[in-house]
Amino acid sequence: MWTANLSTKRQSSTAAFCLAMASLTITGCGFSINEAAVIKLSAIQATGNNLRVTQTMQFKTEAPVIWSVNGIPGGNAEIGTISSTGVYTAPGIVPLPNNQVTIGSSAEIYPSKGSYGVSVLNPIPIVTTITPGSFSEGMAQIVVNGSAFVYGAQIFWNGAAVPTTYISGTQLVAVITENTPGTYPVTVVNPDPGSASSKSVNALVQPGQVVVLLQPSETSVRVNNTITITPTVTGSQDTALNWTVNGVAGGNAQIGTISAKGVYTAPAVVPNPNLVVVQATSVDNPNSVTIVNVQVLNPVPTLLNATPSTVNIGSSSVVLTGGSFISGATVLENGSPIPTQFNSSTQLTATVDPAVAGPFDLQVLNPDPGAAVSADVVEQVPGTPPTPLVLPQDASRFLMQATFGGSEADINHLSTIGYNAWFAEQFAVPNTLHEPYAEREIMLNTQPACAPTDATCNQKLFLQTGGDAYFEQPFWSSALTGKDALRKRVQFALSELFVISSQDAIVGQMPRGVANYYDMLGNDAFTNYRQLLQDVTLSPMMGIYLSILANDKGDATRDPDENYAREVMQLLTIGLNQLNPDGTPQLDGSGNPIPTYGLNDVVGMAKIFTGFSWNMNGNTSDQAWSGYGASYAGPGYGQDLLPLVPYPAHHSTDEKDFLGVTVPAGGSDPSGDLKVALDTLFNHPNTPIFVSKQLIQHLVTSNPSPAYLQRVAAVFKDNGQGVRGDMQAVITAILMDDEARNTNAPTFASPNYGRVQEPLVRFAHMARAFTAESRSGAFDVGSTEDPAYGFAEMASRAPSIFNWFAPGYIPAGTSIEQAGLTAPEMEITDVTTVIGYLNSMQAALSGGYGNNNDLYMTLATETALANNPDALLDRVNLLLLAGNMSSTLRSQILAAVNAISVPAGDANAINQALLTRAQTAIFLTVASSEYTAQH
Amino acid sequence: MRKIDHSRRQFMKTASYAAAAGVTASPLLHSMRALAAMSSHSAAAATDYRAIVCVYLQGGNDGHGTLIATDPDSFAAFTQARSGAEGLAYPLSQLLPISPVTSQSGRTFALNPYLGGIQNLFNAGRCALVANTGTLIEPITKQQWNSGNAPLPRSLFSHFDQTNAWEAIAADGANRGWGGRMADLFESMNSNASFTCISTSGTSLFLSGQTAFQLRVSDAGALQANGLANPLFGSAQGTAALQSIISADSDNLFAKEYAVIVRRSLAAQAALAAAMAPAGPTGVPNPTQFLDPATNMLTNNGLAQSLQTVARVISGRTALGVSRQVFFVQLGGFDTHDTQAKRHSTLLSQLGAAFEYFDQLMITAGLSSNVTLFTVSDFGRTLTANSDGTDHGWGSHHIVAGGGVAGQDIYGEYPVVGANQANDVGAGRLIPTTAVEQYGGTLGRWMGLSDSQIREVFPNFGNFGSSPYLGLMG
Repeated sequence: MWTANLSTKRQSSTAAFCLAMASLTITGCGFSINEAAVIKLSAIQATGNNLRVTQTMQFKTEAPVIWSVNGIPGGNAEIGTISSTGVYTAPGIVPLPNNQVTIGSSAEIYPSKGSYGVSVLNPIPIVTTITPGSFSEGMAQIVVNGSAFVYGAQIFWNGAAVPTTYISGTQLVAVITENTPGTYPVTVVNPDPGSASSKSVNALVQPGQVVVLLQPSETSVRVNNTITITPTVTGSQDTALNWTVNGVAGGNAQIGTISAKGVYTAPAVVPNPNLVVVQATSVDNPNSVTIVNVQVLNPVPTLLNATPSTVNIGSSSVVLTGGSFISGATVLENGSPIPTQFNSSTQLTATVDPAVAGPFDLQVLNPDPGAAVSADVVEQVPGTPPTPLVLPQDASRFLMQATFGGSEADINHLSTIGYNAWFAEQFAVPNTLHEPYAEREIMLNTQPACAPTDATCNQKLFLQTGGDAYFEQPFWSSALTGKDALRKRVQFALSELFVISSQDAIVGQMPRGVANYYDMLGNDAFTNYRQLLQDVTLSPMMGIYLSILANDKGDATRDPDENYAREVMQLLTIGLNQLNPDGTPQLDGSGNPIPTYGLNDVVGMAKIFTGFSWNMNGNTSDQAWSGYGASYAGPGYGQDLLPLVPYPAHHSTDEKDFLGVTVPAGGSDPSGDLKVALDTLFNHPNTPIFVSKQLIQHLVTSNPSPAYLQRVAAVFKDNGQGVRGDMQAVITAILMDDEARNTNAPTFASPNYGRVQEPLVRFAHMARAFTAESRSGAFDVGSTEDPAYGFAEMASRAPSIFNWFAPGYIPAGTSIEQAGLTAPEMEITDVTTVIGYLNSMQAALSGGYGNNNDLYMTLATETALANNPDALLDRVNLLLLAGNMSSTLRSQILAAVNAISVPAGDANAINQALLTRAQTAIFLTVASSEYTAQH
Repeated sequence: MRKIDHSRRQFMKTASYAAAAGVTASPLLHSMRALAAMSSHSAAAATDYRAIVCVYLQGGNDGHGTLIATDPDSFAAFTQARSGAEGLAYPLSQLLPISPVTSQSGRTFALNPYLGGIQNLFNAGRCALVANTGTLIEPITKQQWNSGNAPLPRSLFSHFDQTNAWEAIAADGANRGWGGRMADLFESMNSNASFTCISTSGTSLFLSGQTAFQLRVSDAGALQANGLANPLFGSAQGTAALQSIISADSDNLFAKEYAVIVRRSLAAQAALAAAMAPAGPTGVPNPTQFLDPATNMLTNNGLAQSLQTVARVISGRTALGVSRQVFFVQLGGFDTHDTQAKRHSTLLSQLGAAFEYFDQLMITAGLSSNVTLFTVSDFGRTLTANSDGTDHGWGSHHIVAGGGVAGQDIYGEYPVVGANQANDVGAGRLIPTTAVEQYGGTLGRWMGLSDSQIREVFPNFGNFGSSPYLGLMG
């Protein structure tokens, strides 16, 4: 359709004919052709020069034309399309690099073209909501929701542009700082071309409090040391603070001082009480007060020497000199306390009482708060030492398997008393707990503290962010200093089998629960495997991790959660394949392994694990089922600690079939059904073998011989008194078996024997061997899971229920694979973690390791030996390699040690050189594969 | 094999810009088009380099909730099945519609509300979805499943075994992954075979080859031992001793193989450190944080950081002497038995943002057509929810992204949605209609392996028809 400007139709068609003729250079028609008029036919008229994306604009010409955009007939989606009627539709996105498009018209019946430039502009943004719609004065992150946001869009707060993060066409984020309450308009402005602002939407800034947040570097500190308490003040422009210690402005020499920048310096002597309160008060609003509780701890004692250095059998008096001795300090003889008299901070007198000839260890133990042990001094009793019950190198090797590693004192002690007495001692030592520490720290760090009856306050404590340290600190403290050394190692192994992890979002917010779960494993480590199964299944933490908690019976729209049903079989009891007594898989007629369970067993068992939820004090309402009102509720009490309880209304009453067992349909008996399921799994013939093998793999060797496994599994099955699952008996059987103990056994000599030691245990071993200490007393090592800067693993932090490495892992393309063996710990051995390990060990030997280099080793004993490199190597060899250092390694290390020359004269320079020798000897030992692989 | 109409595809790609409601330029599309306009000829000059990046979604990603059929019958069935769990029966208005080129029985489709990044890539034609893919020995029917006679992968629905099955695919119980097996065959194309297989997420079965070994590269780059880079405790002899000691061989197999890893690390470190681009404005730009819908806070995107590390290694390909590489990255947490609504929203937001970020990196590098991302996962999940999540399934829908992908389409057969349908072996556990072999085999072909080489990598390949390849890579 076209609007003609010609006066007559006849004239136009004749004109058209003549124009066509003219184009063929045929002259004559009797008309004078008006070029301007012709051009005008295709001239484009438009209503404007620009439009926004997706909008339309009508273009018109006087004659029919073929429309194009940028020369493309009809255009396209990138530059916009134009219909045959001249309606141009701008594209969805501004064309790049040039936002101007050219509308072209080409007249249909004569060669006349028109063109029109049009700019495509960004859309006008639309703001719908702001999240949050209101916030307290100070800083807040707001999300602006709307549409038509173009990359480069800017949020304007009260007319001023703020740095804007572009998320999508419908979301923008900005951090606003607004210290004056009021209503503020928020707009969004899109960038050019065609920059335009949205309509505004109001955000409300409410009067807020001045909030002072204190973040101490540590919450405990040894005398004379400092910690930094970093303040953050929000809600005020004036960030000045008044600091006090126990109410005294700036503190004083008795309770410690605090500087204007928040550096607290502990006094020279632990005050009484040793808990000081550091308080920061906002100058702007004196009602805004925040406190941090800091515990001041005794120093770490240093022991220089003991006189006389040689004593006879029987009682005699020894004078120990050193520094930082505290009244109440005890001297330890081979790890056990002896009568001690406090003379001064630099001198103690102790009564030693060696019973045999030979060397014995003396150390000084300062008392709580912050009990800490010095390095050791070795005393001698002349004469021929009797044959010890256990040779020192055998004791060292045993302790590497049975504990996180032994110090000289530990080795001497075991050598003296022998294995039986050692086991008896260790089974009797109480479990070093983690939960009370977590408990105490949470309450100290919760300000103001929650009153026991304040339900709201306690409920808020139930989930906490940033509380990982509440478990990490006691984990390292107990692993490195706990007297229950056997239990600690077994507990750690059990935590790699009965995995929960604070990498799980919910578990990660319940540090007290994590600590309590870990304690439960420690308690049950020396009881019975059936007890372990029971306590793990009903733990609220496992309930969260493997979704037993509030697992509802099925109905028309929903089935019971199968998570725990599957994993309890696959990982904790029977495994995937039927096993022979020696651990080899049973095979069917075609030579294939025989599965222990199928999907139907999982579905059947899933019904068992329904109807268990939070212990809400007898309340079994639906609200209690969902955890409404679950709270922290004070010391030793709270839903994160209490075992789950049955809710019969939510338990499946269907028939439940699994592993050949049928629990008939009928009344709801959650506890009874649970007993049937766990008894079935516990009594399954696979369980002794499957469990024993994993414990052997964690402690002794990755590939026990079938005979070894069979011997241990037999003890699991029956401890000799008719009891199945006796953990003490199984642990003893594992560690005392000939294959574990006998270095003359043919299995020991085989290249297939042993295992790659877990990096975390390698680190703990070094720390225990050389009496590592904590500057803050909190053992603030943190999590060691980083592969590049840590040890690639950490307790209770595994990436999944399968722990950090799988029991059946076979490293591809290795001699281990060729030999048909497994090497679980090789799964976290890669080109990155091996370097991370080296660098972390080197750091630990230098300035220290962990937060603020909290863990350190003085290496005083080794430094004292370093003038005699052979003696130094002997000691390092015994402590780290159980005396098995190869001659090649020894000579290489000796060469490196001897290359460090010891100057004459300056005592500090001498000491530094000797220390460097000690560091070198230890580091080169732990770097070698004679250490990283254990056998 | 389905014939692809390239002209129609091209038109559909560009037509969708206007068609997609409310889509305005993301920063990535914005940059891409600016760059494309400036360097439209540079793609032709790209060297013959190809890489595949396996993105392992650990735990079993819920495919049903990732790619959703939105025609009335399908959507009603979806809603019904998911209504038992809070937050999983997404309202239609929240879903992100996509228009695949090929009809899947005339149904309409949309993506999970949190996959905006994938929707953008899909609409730009650089992303496709592969429906109902999973582990099989050979195709089976529901009747065969019910009869118990069908040959099946071992321990279906078990994380450990199914992860192995997805990554290994060779004979049962094998210890090699198909990524590594492909790398074995690529090694001759690389002047330095050491850098063929790279993982950012620990040791993976996927990258374990017969001869090819994998290098794990952390976000920190190619780590150097401090005691070798600097005199050990101040002594050069100490450093020399360290070098010798950590490289030493041993008779004991565990000590021996530990030292093999150390020697490999030392050998690779210098080349890798020199070749890898730095992270940041001078090298590969850092990813932005993503907005975690569960907390409404900007949060670090770990998957994007892993992909940044991949891009840094890729940028060093010439110096490393590689023209074929296989990468492995992992994102964990997909085992959403409970609190799925929250957990899945966080994970998918992260995934979508990371895929878009990587897409932009590759375009900037002129390598968009040379690098392909693809997801794998232990399995899919049940369609029927438990009280706040889903349980282990089987077949699932996967995402493949890159300029070489024949995008904006769904490959394979999207199942009928609902209970008791032909592929449902209970609760919406799907018998896969596309095998992992077909998925991996198609990628392997794109990487340049011959048909016989593909059949070597995937011994069961021939069980899936006379031409099992998908049209995924054009």
